[in-house]
Amino acid sequence: MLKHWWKILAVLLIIYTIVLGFLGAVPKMGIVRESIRNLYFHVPMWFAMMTMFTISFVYSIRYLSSLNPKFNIYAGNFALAGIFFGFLGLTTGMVWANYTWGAPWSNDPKQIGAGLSVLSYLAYMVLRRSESDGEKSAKISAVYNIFAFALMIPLIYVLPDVLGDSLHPATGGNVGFSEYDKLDGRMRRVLYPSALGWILIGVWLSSLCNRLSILKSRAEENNIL
Amino acid sequence: MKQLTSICAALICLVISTLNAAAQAPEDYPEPESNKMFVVVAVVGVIFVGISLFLLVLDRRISKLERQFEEKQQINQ
Repeated sequence: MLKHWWKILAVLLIIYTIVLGFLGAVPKMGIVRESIRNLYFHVPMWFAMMTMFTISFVYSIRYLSSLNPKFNIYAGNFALAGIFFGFLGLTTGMVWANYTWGAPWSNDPKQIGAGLSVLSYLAYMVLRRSESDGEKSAKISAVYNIFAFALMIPLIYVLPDVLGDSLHPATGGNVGFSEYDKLDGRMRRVLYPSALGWILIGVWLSSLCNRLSILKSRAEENNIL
Repeated sequence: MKQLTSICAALICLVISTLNAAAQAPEDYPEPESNKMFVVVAVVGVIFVGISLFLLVLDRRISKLERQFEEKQQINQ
């Protein structure tokens, strides 16, 4: 039970954000109105995606330096969880954009950047399965994973700022939600616990996938499968 | 991976179905005490708790499988 405290913490944090996210007070805003509450649910998807991809990136480096096959499995499953959160972020963002920007997809620089990063990680999943030679495939995909991570950071954090013209808050000179939240930080008190909760859920999902993958590879080694 | 693809497909269908629904923004902000928002919180909360319980059961099943695997390996050695 003690080993699993962080899973309980994740569930409690998200229940906290569901309750305060719907019932807590929010600043009155023109176009977004009550949909500002999406901040508590849409933005944490990206926090979780970033964390999963960062963990995957670290495991790919560790794989290349040690060639321990476990790290290759970890890198793949954390990237898979990252893609999952990336899709959730894109779809929730499209719903929100439809009602605030007028269209689900308006070629916003940040939308395009996020879409491209998820696509580059989908390519990573394809690459992982393309080569039958285990170690060779693992090495190539680890190198590609490092490249995909290095591509994602400028696509999401640098280019939208440089290009300007973004509809997203806090991008390219736009005002972020923190400007409206200056008085008492009541939105921050929900956003950050939510982000932490979803990151922990992502780690939980990835760890389940990891344990299944390891069971499967051990079963193959022992000719059970 | 196959499951993930179907989950993503379901999500996309869900999004498309919500996009067509007319967006009717209320003119005033209703008072949180009277607008029965807590009912929605309860429903979303129940769904989330359900998903967490599902994850918990999955977690325990995998743990059980791991234990059985360890035992079998010890017998074989």
